[in-house]
Amino acid sequence: MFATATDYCEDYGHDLLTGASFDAQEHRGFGADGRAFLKPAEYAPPPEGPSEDYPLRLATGRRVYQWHTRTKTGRVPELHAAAPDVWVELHDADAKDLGIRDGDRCTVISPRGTIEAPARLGGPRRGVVFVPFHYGYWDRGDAAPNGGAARAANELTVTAWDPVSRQPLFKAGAVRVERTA
Amino acid sequence: MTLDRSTSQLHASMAHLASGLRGLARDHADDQDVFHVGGALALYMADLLDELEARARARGTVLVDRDRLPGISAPALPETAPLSDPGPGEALLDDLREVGVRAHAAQLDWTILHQGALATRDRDLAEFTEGGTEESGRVVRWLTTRIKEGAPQVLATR
Repeated sequence: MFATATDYCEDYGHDLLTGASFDAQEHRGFGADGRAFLKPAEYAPPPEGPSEDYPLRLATGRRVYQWHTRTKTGRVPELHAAAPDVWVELHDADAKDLGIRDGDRCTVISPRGTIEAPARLGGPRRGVVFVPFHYGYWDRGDAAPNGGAARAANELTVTAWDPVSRQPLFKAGAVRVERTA
Repeated sequence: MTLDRSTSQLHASMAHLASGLRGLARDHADDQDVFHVGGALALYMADLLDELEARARARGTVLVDRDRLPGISAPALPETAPLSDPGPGEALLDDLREVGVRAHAAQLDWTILHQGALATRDRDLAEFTEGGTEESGRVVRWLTTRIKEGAPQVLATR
C-alpha cells in the first residue's frame, strides 16, 4: 500500500519533463489510490552537445579512490596518494589527432571556463573526454581560477538542472582539448 | 473534406505555439528553466507539427506554409489603466501569459479536431489528436506552474 490516495498524499506530483505540478483533480484522475505510480519520461537531449568550436563530449564523474570533493578521502594519506590531483582522460585516436601523448599537460576549454590537467589515454570512447570532479581548491594554496591553473571540473559544466528535483546537470557538456604550450 | 478547416486552424495555432516557445526560450535565456524546458517543448511541438503536416498532406488537405502564417499575438490586456513599463520579472510573466494564450488555443484546436475524428469514426486520427491534446495540455500546465512560481515574488516586491 502506497501513500497515493489523493486526500492523503503530500504532493500531487509533477510532469517529469517540465516540472509542472499536477493539481488534486488531475491526481484523482490517475486513480492511484494506494497503488504506486510508474512514470515514464521521454528522452530529452543533453543541454549542450558537441559543436565546431567544442567538438568533444565532456563527461565528469568519480574514480574509486576519492569521494565527491575529497573532504574526507583527501585527508586519508593512502587514498590521497593514490589519486592526488586532477587528470583528463582521452581516447587514443582523439589524442593522436590533437598531438597529445600520455602525460602531456592539456587545457580543456568549454564555453564557460578552462581547466588544466595531464592527459591519460585509453579510457573513454572516441569523442568523449572524462574529467573527475573530485578536485577543487580547498587543499591548494594557490586559489584558482584567478590565482593559478583551474582544475575543478565544474569550471566547464553547464548551468542547468532537472526541472523536478532541481539536481544540477553537472555531468555533461561540450569541450575542446589542446596541448598546453 | 469536413475536417479540413479544423486541421488548418490547428496547424496555424500549433505553428504559433512552437514559435512562441522558441521566442520565450530565446528571450529569457538567463532563466535556465525557461531556456531549457521552453526549448525542449518547442522541439516537441515542432515534431507534432511535422506529423500534423504529413497527415494533412496524405489526406489532401492544403495548408499554408508554416513560415508564411500571419503573426497572431495574444489579446491585449484591457486598458483600464495605463500600464507602466514592465520590470524584468514582469516581462517574463507577460511572455509566459502570451505563450499561455497560444497554448490554450492550440489545446482547444486539438480538442475540436479530436471530436471531429471521433464523430467521423477515424480511429487513427482520434489517437493522434488525443496525444496532441495531452501534449499541448502539458505546455499549458508548465506555463501555469511557472506563472504560479514567478508571480508572487514579482508582484509582491514591485
